[in-house]
Amino acid sequence: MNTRTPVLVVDDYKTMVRIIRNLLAQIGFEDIDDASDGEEALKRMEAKKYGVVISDWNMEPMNGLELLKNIRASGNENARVPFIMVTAESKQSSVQAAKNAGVNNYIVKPFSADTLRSKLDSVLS
Amino acid sequence: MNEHSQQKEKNNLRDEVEKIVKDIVKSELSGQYGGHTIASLRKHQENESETEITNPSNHPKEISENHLPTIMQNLNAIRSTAESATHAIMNATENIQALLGMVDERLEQQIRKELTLVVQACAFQDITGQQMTRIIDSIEEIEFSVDGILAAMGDKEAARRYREMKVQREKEKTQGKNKLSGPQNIIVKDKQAEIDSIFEN
Repeated sequence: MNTRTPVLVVDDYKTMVRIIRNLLAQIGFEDIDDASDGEEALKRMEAKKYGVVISDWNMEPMNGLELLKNIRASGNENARVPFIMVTAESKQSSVQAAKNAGVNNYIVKPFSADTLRSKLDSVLS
Repeated sequence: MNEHSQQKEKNNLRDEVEKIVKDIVKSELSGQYGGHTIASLRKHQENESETEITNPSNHPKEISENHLPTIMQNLNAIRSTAESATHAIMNATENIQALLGMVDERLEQQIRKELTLVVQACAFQDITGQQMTRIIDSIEEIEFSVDGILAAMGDKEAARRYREMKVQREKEKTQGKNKLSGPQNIIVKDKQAEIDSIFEN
């Protein structure tokens, strides 16, 4: 896994952003940015190319699923960026909806550093 | 680096960690979390229990005007207290992580491992915060229904509140605020494995 990959963390909850950033730093990632919802994430992605997006689902005004759909429909180089959903939303129908929209992997909260590492490994290797 | 200066650095590091831990304990005792001290929350709870014992008749008007708002206030206080405490723990963790370069490699690995567990555990606050939000949403629903009943019985004040809440709900509906089911249970054992199997198929 290339830990020099730029990572975008999207979550409206500051505590969770801090937790994910901290765990990413411990795995070895250094280039980490964050956004507090889907709209801000899209703006950041216009300005910088990311190697992976780690996003929460439940955010306003644009949630994680809408962000994923927007990215996949963009038709530009971001359209194929690996996308990992990190959420407490664990209903099977929701997971299936995310899979259908093109999510690469799905982590249910609360999660361990090992789970985050293994999912990143699977989408970046 | 000679043995004397290594010992000196270790002592400095120990003092630094002691100071961080003392700061956390001090802020906990002085009640800086969300403006609520443990003592004030306890006192509040005692007063509430006394009210319940001396006034057992839970009239719908009493429920709508006093009990439900009190429950909401308490839940919001718990939510903000937990959030502040989590940030204090994260601050202390990050401060200790910043000092890890000063200790020998074996000890650094051990401390780093333990700190990862602390950071992981902090995620509880996100989960409980979301569950708390669901509970608050449910109480708002009960409040709306009780005010509806009181309005139908001719209570003008309840009718006003009911109209206001109805307008607010319509507004949220048109803004497309979709409330997800959220975490069903804090224990998500095997949930990840279940989800992984969806991705394997």
